[in-house]
Amino acid sequence: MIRVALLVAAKDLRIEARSRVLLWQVVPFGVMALLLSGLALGPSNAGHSNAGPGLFYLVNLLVALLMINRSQAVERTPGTRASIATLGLDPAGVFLGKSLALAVELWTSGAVLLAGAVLFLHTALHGALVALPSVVLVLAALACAGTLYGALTAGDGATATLLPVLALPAFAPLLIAGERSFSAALHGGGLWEWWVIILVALAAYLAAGILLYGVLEES
Amino acid sequence: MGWLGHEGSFYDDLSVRENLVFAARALERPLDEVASVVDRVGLTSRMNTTSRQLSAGQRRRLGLAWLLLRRPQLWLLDEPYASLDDEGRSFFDAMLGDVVASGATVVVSAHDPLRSAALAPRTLTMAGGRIVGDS
Repeated sequence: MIRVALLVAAKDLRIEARSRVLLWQVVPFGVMALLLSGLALGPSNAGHSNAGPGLFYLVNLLVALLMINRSQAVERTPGTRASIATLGLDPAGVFLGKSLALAVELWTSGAVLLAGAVLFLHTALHGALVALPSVVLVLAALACAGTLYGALTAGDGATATLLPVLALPAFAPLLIAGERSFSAALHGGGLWEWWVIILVALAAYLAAGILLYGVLEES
Repeated sequence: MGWLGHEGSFYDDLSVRENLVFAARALERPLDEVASVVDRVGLTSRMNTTSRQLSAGQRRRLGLAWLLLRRPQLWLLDEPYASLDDEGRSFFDAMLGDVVASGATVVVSAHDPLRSAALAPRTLTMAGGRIVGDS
């Protein structure tokens, strides 16, 4: 399973490095969204607003939706899916590999967006650094849930609409816990209870993906 | 079982080498087999070309290399001659002849009858979803 996971993750990251969709399309979109969020708050209010963490995670979610669709689309070019199916790859390994590659992509965009939050939303740098571990975990959990729901909606003509609708119940607790832990890092308060929620969600999505990904691919 | 469709069956943003190395690793085959099958299908000069940049005939050859790595006992080929020129068709016939000679079973769906009778000991003709001829 781990061998297949590393193989699939390396393949997905190589495709991303070659196509540069993340670098030239998704990250610029995320940075623009953050910049516009800062302008919407008002330049003089951005530094005093409590909306920074929420806006940061909202933009990360939009970026994640784009990357989830992209991650599934590379498997859906005509003929590829049938051909790959004949390789007999372990579905749990494929899920882990695609989740790992997506997590690496989200961590990359997340690092840029965190810097963007400091720059455009005037989020305190020290608070952003304290929040970094929770951001890493939330994005990893988003990657696992996104890979699972991406497989569920892939192949449907309305994937771009279906994915956010179906995945909302899975993403919502992550966004709330992420925003709360980021706010706690900025303004003080308990961090651990939000960490527990994030870790439980990550474990649940990992387990669900390992168990169900093969069934979703088959269907 | 191996399958080759007429669209091409691999990752567009990966090169010939990367696609086949991925397949070889997935199948736990030695990596030196990659160079051997690429040479066999005549794609050595296109080793580092992405599959997106290959012509239709070259994509078909890449699909063939993928199948040669897999070494399936049953080959299912969906219109393998589509978009191929005469040289490509002859090359495909020769390769399929080798595959059949090695003991594998090849099922080809095509609009036109196969040119080489040796490749098609049995031909089923279908019309309107029904078999109308068996020779």
